[in-house]
Amino acid sequence: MEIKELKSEGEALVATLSGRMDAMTGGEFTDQMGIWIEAGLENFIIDCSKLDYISSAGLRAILMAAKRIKSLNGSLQLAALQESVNNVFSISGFDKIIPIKETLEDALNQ
Amino acid sequence: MPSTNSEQIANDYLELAATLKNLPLFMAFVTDRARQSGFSSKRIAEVELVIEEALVNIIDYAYPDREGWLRLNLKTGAEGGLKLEIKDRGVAFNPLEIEDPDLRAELMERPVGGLGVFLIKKFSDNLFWKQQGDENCLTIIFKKRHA
Repeated sequence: MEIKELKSEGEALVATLSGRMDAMTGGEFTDQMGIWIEAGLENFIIDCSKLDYISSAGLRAILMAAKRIKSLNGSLQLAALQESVNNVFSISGFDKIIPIKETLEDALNQ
Repeated sequence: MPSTNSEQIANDYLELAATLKNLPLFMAFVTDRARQSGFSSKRIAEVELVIEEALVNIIDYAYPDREGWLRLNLKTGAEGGLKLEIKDRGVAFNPLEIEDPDLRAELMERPVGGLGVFLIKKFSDNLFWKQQGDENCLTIIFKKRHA
C-alpha cells in the first residue's frame, strides 16, 4: 500500500491511497494519520481510486482515524472508491458513518 | 480432459507456519485455484477477503505462546465451486459464535474490530466449524457466484 500526500486544498489535506489495505498494511495508514494529526491537521480527503483491496484490518484503521478526527472536530472524507472496496464498505455499514463521495471533485467542492 | 480426472487432480493442500509472512502464500494457493476454476475477478476478490479474515484470526490468536501451523485443504466441487478446510491445532475457537456487529451504531459507538467474521459470513456460501481431536476445522464453501 502507498499513501501519498497530494495537496492541501483550503483547510483539507488530500491524500491518495493505493494498493492493498490489509492485515499487513493497515498499520501504515494508522501511523501516517497519526503523524498528520500530531502536526495539527484535522481535515482530510482520501482519494481511494487506486485502492484495490480492503479487509477488516483496513476498515479498523479507517474507523480508528475517523473516531480520532471526530473527537478533534475535524473531518474525514473518502472519495472515488472502487466497486469491490465500496462493496466491503457498504456491507460493513461504513457508508453510514463515514462520508463517501463519488469523485474527488465532489469531496473538494464540499 | 474428463471431469473425473480433473477432480482427482483438483484436490490439494498447503501446510505452513501460522505467520503473517505466509499469508500471501496461503491466499495465492486459494485464489490461483479459484481462477483456474473460472471464478470471476470480482468473486476472487471476495474469496481473497474471506481467506485473509479467517487466517488472520488464527495467526493472531490460535498460538499465543508458541509457534504453530496452519493447513488448508482445497477441493473443487461438482459445480466448479471450492470447498476449503482451514485447520490449526491452537486454542479452540469457533468463529461462528462471534456476534454480528451493530451496523446501525453511530461512528463513536462503533467498536473497533469484530468485522472479520462478519465479512467471512457475508462473502462465503456456507460455513461450518468443528473440533476434531485437538484440531480446529473451519470449512468454507465458495460458489462461483453469489446466489
